[in-house]
Amino acid sequence: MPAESEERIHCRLDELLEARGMTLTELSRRVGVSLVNLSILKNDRARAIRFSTLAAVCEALDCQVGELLVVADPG
Amino acid sequence: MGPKSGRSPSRLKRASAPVMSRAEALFLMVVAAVVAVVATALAVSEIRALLRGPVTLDLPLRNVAAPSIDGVVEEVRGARYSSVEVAFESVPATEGLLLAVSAGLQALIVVAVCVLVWVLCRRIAAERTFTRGAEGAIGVVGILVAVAGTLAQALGSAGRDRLVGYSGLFRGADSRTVFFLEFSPTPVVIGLMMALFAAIVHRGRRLQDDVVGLV
Repeated sequence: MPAESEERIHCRLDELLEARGMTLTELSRRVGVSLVNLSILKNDRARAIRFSTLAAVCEALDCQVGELLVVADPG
Repeated sequence: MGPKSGRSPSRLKRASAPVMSRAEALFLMVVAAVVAVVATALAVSEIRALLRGPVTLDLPLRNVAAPSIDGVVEEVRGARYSSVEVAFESVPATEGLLLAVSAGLQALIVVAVCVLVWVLCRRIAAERTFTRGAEGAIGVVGILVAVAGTLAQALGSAGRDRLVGYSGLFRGADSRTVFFLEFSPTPVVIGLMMALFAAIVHRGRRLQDDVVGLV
């Protein structure tokens, strides 16, 4: 995948966590993904995401994939 | 709201323990450093003895008129002397140089392998195992082991065979170099294995690049 395409994907993990009053540490404990990896995801530094991670995070936050990941407007 | 997936908790446990801990890597680095220092010290001592004497060497004997040892024991069909230990006050310059270079090359191989172990352990401890540098270092050490190992055997064999002729102690002794008779393919095989290892690291580096940033 080209680098520009990766950078256009925005992860709304921060907003979803805040809306649910959940911390990143709590999410890490619930989904079994390391805090480091969740932090990478939250800060839009991830270059790829496993379906299992995606499914686990969506389940823990009770949301759809489209609510978690959105395509950011260019520029 | 969202569809419930039947996730397996065991599949989501990704915070796996490293293959080698920092302490284990440090231990191997210390062992490699000690082995390299000891090998260098022994080689320097051996080279000094070969160039200045005195030194005791095992020399091969071929076609030597040696006392018969047939029939000592009923079960033994035959036996012959194949080598002799000779104590030299000083070794002739050419032969001494051949043997000294051979000893130096053997020590160089040990030191190179120890340096490689040290470098790889450092990279493992830093969690940067598969790098272009590691790949190149393994390949270079592999070539060094194959070439220097074979050359060391050839020079050592030539030096010892020439000394047999020089010493004049053994009537009929064959002082010609018959390296191929004593050639051991071990350095070449180790070199090939290391080349394969370098290819595996190359493949690992590509896989590592694929998973950087994967969550």
